[in-house]
Amino acid sequence: MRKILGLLLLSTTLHAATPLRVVTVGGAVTETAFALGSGDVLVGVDTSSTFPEMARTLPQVGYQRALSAEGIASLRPDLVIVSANAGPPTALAHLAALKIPVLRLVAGDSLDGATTRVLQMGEALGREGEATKLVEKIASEVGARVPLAAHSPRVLFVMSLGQGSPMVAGRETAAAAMLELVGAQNAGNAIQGYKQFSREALVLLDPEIVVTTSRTLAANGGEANLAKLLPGLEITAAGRSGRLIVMDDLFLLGFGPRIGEAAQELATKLNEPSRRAER
Amino acid sequence: MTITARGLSIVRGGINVISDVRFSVSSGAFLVVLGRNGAGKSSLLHALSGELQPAGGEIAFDGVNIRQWSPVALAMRRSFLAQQTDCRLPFLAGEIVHLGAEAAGQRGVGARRLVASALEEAGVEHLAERAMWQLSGGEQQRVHWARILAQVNGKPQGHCLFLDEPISSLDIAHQHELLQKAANLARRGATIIAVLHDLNLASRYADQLMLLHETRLLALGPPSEVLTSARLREVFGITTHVMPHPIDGTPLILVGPTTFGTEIRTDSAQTALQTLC
Amino acid sequence: MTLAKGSAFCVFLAILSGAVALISLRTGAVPISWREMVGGGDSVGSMVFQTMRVPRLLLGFLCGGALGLCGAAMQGLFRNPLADPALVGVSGGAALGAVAAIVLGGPFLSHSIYILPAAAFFGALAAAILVHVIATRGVRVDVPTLLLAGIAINAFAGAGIGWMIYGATDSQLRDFTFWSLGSLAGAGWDATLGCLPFVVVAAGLLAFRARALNALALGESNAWHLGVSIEGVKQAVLAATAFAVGAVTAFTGTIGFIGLVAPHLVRLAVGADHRLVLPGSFIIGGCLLCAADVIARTARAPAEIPVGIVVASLGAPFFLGLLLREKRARA
Repeated sequence: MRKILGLLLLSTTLHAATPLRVVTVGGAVTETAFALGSGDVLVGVDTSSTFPEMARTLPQVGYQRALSAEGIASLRPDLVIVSANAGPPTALAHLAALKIPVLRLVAGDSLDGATTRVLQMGEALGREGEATKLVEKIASEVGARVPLAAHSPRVLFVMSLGQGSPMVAGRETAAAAMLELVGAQNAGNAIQGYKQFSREALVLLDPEIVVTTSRTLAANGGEANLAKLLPGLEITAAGRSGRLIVMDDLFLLGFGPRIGEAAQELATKLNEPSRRAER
Repeated sequence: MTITARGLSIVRGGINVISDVRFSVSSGAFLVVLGRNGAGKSSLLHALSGELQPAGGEIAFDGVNIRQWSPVALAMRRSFLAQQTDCRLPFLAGEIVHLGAEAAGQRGVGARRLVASALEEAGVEHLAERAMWQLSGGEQQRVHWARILAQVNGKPQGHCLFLDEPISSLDIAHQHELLQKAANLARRGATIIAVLHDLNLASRYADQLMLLHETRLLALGPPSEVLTSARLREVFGITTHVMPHPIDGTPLILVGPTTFGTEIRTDSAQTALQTLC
Repeated sequence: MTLAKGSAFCVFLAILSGAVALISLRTGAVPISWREMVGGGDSVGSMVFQTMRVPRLLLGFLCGGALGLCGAAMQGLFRNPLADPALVGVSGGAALGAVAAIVLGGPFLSHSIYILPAAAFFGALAAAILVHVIATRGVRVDVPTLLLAGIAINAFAGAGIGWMIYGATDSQLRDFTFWSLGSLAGAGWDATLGCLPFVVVAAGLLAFRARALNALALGESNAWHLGVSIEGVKQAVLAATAFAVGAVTAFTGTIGFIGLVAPHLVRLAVGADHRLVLPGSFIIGGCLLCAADVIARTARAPAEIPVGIVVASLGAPFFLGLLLREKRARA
């Protein structure tokens, strides 16, 4: 571990020359590389790198927590940028042993974390100017978001990885951090992490708005089925008003370069009046 | 080999199956244990062979307590043929007999020679390369008999064979063949202790019979003394006629003509039956 | 078993493992020249060869071998060709240890690559000891009770894993899922050398038990009458399985099937004699895992498929095919 850290320091100081073959691991990492204008130096990405469209055409190095050192090495990168989640540690240690510089970005689902990562990557990719501009853009977007109406609404974030049993986002989740960023109350704050919720507890929380990801909706066959998967929802405020917000996973929860846009869009949608009331 | 039991009692599943049995058999003896189902015959054999820990009393092989024999040393001096032996892995008959040769301490060429002679003696050399699961029950039993013969290692003197209903899967010819071979081994100095159900076979091949009844040793002695109509009625509850075999004079047991007398039911059972009705 | 058949089988095993080793060392995402393989040096190719390919081949062989060997020993002990180290709770215990390390170990996990394997290993060992204690009456280990205790321990481990998963974060959950799919991706010299002593101890414990396991095929009573100290065999098989499967699972996650299929293949070829089945299952198991790993790391290169998936998806149809062929042969 210490070896990797040492190498990290080395890599950031010694790597003055702009890297020409870069592997990025993590959806937001890849997104940032493109946002900084370094998309053309990418030679490989992980499975979570789904944005922009260009990223999907690059060679896949696998799931970000199950990387293969030899697979990455075969792409002959001169820099590997990984999210704080990347692993396993052995694979990263092997890359270090092959003298391939590895930049591990800081962790943190927060505005601070997001901007620090942009700056880290800007330095590593020789795009400091672009990084500073991007950070400014994010700050202005977050600042320019529509302020929430009168009170901060109770928002329930639900997500499911596959089919069935959606999980509610509790404390210390990216969803909670995003809700906090736009000034909404996370209805699931009583729990920690993503958990399944009982029907009665759901009724008790009485969320005003439900937020979910487009992947969750797609996996469960649309809005109509989601209501079935969350029985009890129909007698909550959100169920009665029909206020459901759907956003892209990576966009909403990635804490990448589009965090400002995501905050703007979420805030705007939270402010929309209920659809049922409109009718 | 002389086997001595003193004050032997055996408990299985919390039930006394053998109480306070004492006897001694020495080299050259062919002892057959008789008794009703559940009389503890099998348990007695397993205890005498050292496998089953008796609840009380002690067993000695050649005057040495059986607990002081190591399993390996014991295997060179005593062998055990069960009524039926399962083999669920695809062993060949020859490999099964090889186990007996190894137990006798033979390895390599010596073991192979011993296996060949044991297979021949048991009349199953043609089955050597067949898998056990391909053989009939009787053929399997003869292969196991060959395994026991290999374990005897051609040295019946000082060896004890325990045979627990060894012939129940064999046809009548092979029944006699196996018992005859066992008797020959006894003549050459082996000690044979067997459980049989056929009284006439027991009477023909054994030189001593042991009759177990209600956990106790009822009688022990030569067939002509042990096999009496009165005793057979007491133990098995059947009506028999015992007469000398017309050729060799050993006791011949004929059952009937009325098989069961009223004696089959003990008084208490009868009372119980009446209460029920 | 005839001598000729035995020696022919040994020659076959030698050729097979040589071929698998060569293919495994030659294939991978990074092209490596013969000169880089033999000559060393510090080019990327030779570095990859020295720090990844070689230890990975050895780890694969050790792990596959240990799984095959312990599978064969377990089948001998339970007198059932379907027995498997997982039966006595070892894999369940290892999985519980691993998930506990992933979920509770959080910040410590990144300090050392040994924390996860150590937790999995002690989980396996604890399960084996517990099963052993439950199944022991006086000095005897009751084999049917062993089986039932194993089922109970597996259920208990399942419950523990459930609790851990319930409290896990998204990424911990993913980590555990990938761990349970089994992979040699973590292979390096440290994992290989970490695994080695346990596999050596297990092989040593089982090395002179072949005759006893043969006798045990006739049941405990007959084995005892053939001079086998059956309690010694049971303890040895249990200890060897806990050690080897515990260590293997710790370093590679759960890889099923090899413990079942390797001994089966050997028995098909040379019969049930454990003097051939034990070493044969080790070598065939090692070759199977290494061959599956070649596919796991090349099929979707530069990404890598968990080897457990490859083993199961190739092994299961193959095994079914064998069963059907045997069925026809017996009919």
